[in-house]
This record gives sequence, structure tokens and C-alpha cells, in this order.
Amino acid sequence: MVVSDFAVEAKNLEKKFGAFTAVNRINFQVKKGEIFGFLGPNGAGKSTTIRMLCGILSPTSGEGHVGGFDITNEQNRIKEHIGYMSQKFSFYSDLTVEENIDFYSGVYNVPDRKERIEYILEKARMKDYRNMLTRNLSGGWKQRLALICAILHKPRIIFLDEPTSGVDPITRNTFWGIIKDLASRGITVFVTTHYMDEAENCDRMALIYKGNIIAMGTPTEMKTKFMKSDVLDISVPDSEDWLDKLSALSSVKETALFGTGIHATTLDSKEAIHAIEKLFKEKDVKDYSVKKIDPSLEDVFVALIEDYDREHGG
Amino acid sequence: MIGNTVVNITRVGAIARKEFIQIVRDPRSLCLAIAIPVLLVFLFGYALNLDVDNVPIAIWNQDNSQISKDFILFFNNSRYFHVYGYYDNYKDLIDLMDHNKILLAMVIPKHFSHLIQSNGTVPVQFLVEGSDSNTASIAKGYAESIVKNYNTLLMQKAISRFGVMNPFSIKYRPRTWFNPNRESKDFVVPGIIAVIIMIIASLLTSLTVAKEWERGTMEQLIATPVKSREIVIGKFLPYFAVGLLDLIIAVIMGTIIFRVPLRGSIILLFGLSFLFLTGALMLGLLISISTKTQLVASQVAILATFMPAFLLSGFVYAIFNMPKAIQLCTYFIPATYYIVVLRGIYLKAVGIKELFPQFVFLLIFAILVSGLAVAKFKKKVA
Repeated sequence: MVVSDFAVEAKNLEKKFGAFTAVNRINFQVKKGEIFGFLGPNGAGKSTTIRMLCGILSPTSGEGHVGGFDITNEQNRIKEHIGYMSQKFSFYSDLTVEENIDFYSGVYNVPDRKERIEYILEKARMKDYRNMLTRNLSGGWKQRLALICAILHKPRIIFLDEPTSGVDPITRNTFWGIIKDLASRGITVFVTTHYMDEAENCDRMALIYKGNIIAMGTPTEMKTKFMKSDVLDISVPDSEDWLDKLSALSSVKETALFGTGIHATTLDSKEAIHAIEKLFKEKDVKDYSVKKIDPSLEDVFVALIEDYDREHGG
Repeated sequence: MIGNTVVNITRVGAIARKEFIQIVRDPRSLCLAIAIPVLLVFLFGYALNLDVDNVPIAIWNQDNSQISKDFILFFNNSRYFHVYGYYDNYKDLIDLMDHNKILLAMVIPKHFSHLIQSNGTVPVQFLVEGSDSNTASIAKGYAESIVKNYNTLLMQKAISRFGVMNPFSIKYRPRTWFNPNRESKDFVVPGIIAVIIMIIASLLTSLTVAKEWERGTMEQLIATPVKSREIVIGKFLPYFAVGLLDLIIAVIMGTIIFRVPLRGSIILLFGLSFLFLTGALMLGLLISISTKTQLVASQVAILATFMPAFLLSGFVYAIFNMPKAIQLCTYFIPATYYIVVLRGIYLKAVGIKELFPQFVFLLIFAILVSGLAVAKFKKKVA
């Protein structure tokens, strides 16, 4: 065991499956009590990383520490101190809520099992559901049960792999409330998601793409440090017809539909606004607006991924 | 570290409990665990009758004398034959065989009684329906011995006519041991226990690990501190209980319904059954661990456990009749040894001394497969 300020650390961590590199020598550190977001599109290497950190997949090379334990030879110690909620919130659908909780409390060897189960059922407001078969639970309650099973043994660090996938926006919101509550009590939360808007809830985050970490920092840092281009919000009738015409302008880098309007990235916002307005006037469009906005995290991520693809010929 | 040398009872208990609830709550597995054994004992006990009795025989008596009628009566009075009917042409006889009505036809020629009375030789024709070669040769054997008996009778009559009262003869006095009435149920029913245990192993146990990979619960489970051997033992225990229950059901049904005598030690029977049950269930688990889908697992399991136990163990087909190469294979099938144990204890009342080689093999098998299951699981998870 290594004493360190960091709850999770990765140094040149790499995982190859045959010739395919799923995770490419990544480096990052997660501070104790932090909500750390691990973001990226599907297939970027998020789950592979989380599985290596949880001790269920051996890395090809590099090293990592979780709670001070080595991920290559102290997996069993790691497993005792972490909670893990896998992607499909998988528990036994033919067991009741209470039987599932009882099972995991047994597997984790939770002391004072009965009291702990009562306490947590009460706390999660699931007492009314205790005898319900879990296959009959709705998505939100399933997700809540999965989280309960992962924190029964009071772990110091929890890993949540896509905890909000397939759950409605309101439930997602409540869930993030619970995550923040856990973090406020000193638990380190390592969470992956491909919903970029959820990233705002994290203290710090890393963006992983094609196995590489391409940006890391606080939400503010992400928007300022990594965003080299400005974002313009354009509202115009028949916006989809304008996508290609606008991106053909030399001062505009990329365009993308955003809600009912268009977001365009540019290196020089003044010149771009001028060019766009000129184009609209020539085409006799009247009902439009073009303004520079603060980028959302989603804008940042889209821009970063496009930059990456351009540089690497993807 | 202590945690590395022993298994944690709480964790094993949690897994065993969970697995048990799943078996009881799933109608399919509950049916497989309880209804199938009952059904199998009934089915095999009644239907798998290897006895050849009451062979239907058709007769064309061209002679129609008192002597030929006596001869026919000789057949009809034996427990092996019953006269299906009397006919007067080959076409009818062929027709009956085509429709599977008779197994044997006997044609008694004209002048049968005349030839016998003039001390001549009479050819009596027997036509055998030989598609089931085994039954056909048994029926043929019965017919042969009845004809021989009748010949002896005639001979004795002839000799006594010359005034010799007690002609010499060798009396054939057979006594069948262990199964004096030579009933095939006594032979079949004990063997069913082996088949039932293999079915549990192949249809229930083989799915249990594959199911968890498929549903994603294994991913969650291996992220907990639970050890491979704790998962294997935890999953093994409830199926062991099911197997034990089935063993008790089969023994009770065999004794009460089929009246198969259990002559040997019941403790030895259960003791050796535990070994076989352990080996069979661990084999099922090993298959489940080695495959990742339930479909593949059940197919491999049927091929690897149930089929050999059924076909090659000597349960139905005698091993000494098999070609040498296949006989060699039977040595590697645990059910072969277990069936010797079952029949030995049931019918011959043999003890551990006689069954020592079987005991050693079953023990090695159980330990080997258990070890392999845990090792394979460890490898798969890491």
C-alpha cells in the first residue's frame, strides 16, 4: 500500500486486446473526495479503464493505484474498499430488492448486516419495495438499487460505469443529487458517461477518445484552456439547409445543429459574424441572429474530438 | 494471509442462498430438479424392459394330427410364447410380420405325425422376424430349447417302449444369483440414479455460471472481494442438495414402486453417491465456466455428461459387447464406475472392499474436476 493524496492514479496505463489498443498509456490522478468524470463517446475506452481500476481486468502495461493499492497485484484489497456499479446495473432479476441487498451484504461481509440493510432501505426510501422482484422495478428504482448494492459496505471510492444510461432526465437529475451527497461525505466518485451535459456536475473531468485522454481539467478550465475557437449561435429559418453553406465560408471551421439553431466554431469571431451576416443579406434572409456565446461543455468536446480527428487523419 | 487459505463462510452462504432461491423460484429448474427424476424412474422402470416374454407366434399346421397339436401346446404353455393364430398360407404369415403382429412363425409339414411315429426326422420350419436382432435371437433360442425339450420327451417315450424305465440323462439345473427371476427392472432401476444425477449436472449446473455472464451479473460479482473458490462452492452446494433429494426420491421409488431389493449398505450407497454427485456437478460447473453462453453450455454438457452416462456406462448396453476401442473409452466415464457401485450394492450387497477401485476412481474424479473448475474460473476472471 502506498500513502498518497490521490484516491485513484494511473501512470502510462495501457490495455491492448490483440492488435487493438483500447486504452493508450493514459495518465491521470483523482483527488480524495472528488467527483471525477470520465467522459467520451461509446467505445472510447471508458469501461476498459474502469475495469482495470476495479481489479477485474489486468492492464497490458503501466501502473495504477486505487485507494493506495496496486491494481496489478492487490486487486483483492482494492475490491474490499471500492464500490462498483457496472454498466447494465445487473443484479438478480428473480430476487426481491431485499434479497439482492442481502446477497451483496453477504458477499461484502458487511458487519451488522440486518441493521445495515434496514438503514439503507430507509435511507433510499425503498422500504415499500423490499419484497418486490427486481425485474418489476422501473428504470429509476433499478438504478437506485444498483447504487445501494455498490455502497452497502461503505467504500471509500465508488466507480460508476454509465450509471445514467437509459434513464429519464428527471431521474438522472435526482441521481446526480445522490452522487453529490456521497461526495460531500468524503467519498471519491469516479463516474463515466457519454452524456456530455452531465459533465457540469463533476469537479474535474477527463475526455477520453480512441483510447487517449485528450483533455483534462475542471469544467471552467475545459471551456477556457482547451477551447481555442469561439462559438457562434446562429438562428435562421430552415437551419439545416444552411449548415453546408456556412461551413463553406473560409472564416468558419465547423458547423453543427444545436436545438433549432446552428452552432459554428471559428478562430476569429468578428470576421465570421461579418461574413455570415453578409451571406444572409445577399440571400435576402431577414429573420436571423448571429451572436458569440460561451461554449457549453458539449461544444468543447465536439471541437476537441474534431480537432483530434483532423490531426490524426481520422 | 488467513483470507487466502480459507473460504469465507458468509460469502459462500450468501451465494448458496441466492442460488437456492433462484432454483426454487424458476419453474423450469424446479421441474428439472424434481419432476424429471420421478418421470425418469417411471419411464425407465416400466418401459425399458429388456425381458423377452410372451413372444407372439403364428402357426400353419399342415398336419392337423393329435401329435402336432400336442407339439403346439408345448409352445403355448411356456411363458415365452403365446399363439397369435392359425393360418394356412405363407401370404398371411408374411402379412403378419409386415404389420409387426408376430415375431415368429412355425410351419408344421404334412405327415408330421406319420414321420414321428415311423422314427423319421421331421423338418419344422421357423420364420423369424429379425429386424431387432437381439430380441430375434432370444426368441429363436427359446424356440430351440422348446423343440429340444419336446425331442427329449419323445426320446424317453421311445426308450421306455423298449422296457428301459430310467434312461440316463444329464439334468440341467441352473440357478441365477442376485436377480433370481432375471427381471430387467432390478438391473435398470439402480442404474437410473446415475443418469438422473448426470441430467442435473448437464441441464441445471451447466447453466448457472453461463447465465450470469449472459445477464451481466458476473461482472458485478467479480468486482466484489469474493474468491473464485467461494463462487464455485457457493454455486455447488444448492445443486448438491437437489441431487441428494433426487437420490432419495429414486431410492424410495425403486424400493416401494419397483420393489428392487436394496441388499447392501445404504450408508455406503450414499457415501459413494456423494462422491459421484460432487464430480458430476463440478463437471457441470466446469463446463459452465468454460463457455460463455447458456446455449453452448447446455449442448456441451449433454454431449459430455448425459450421453456417455446413458450410452457408454453399461446402464443399458453391456460394455463387453462393445468394440475394443469403445470399451477403452468407457474407462474414462465416471458413470461406468458408479453403475458398478449401484448394482453391486443393490443386488450383490458388496462392500467397500469389492468397490475399492471404483471408490478410488470416483474420489480422484471429484477432486480433479473440482480443482479444475476453481482454476478455470480464476483464469477466466483475471
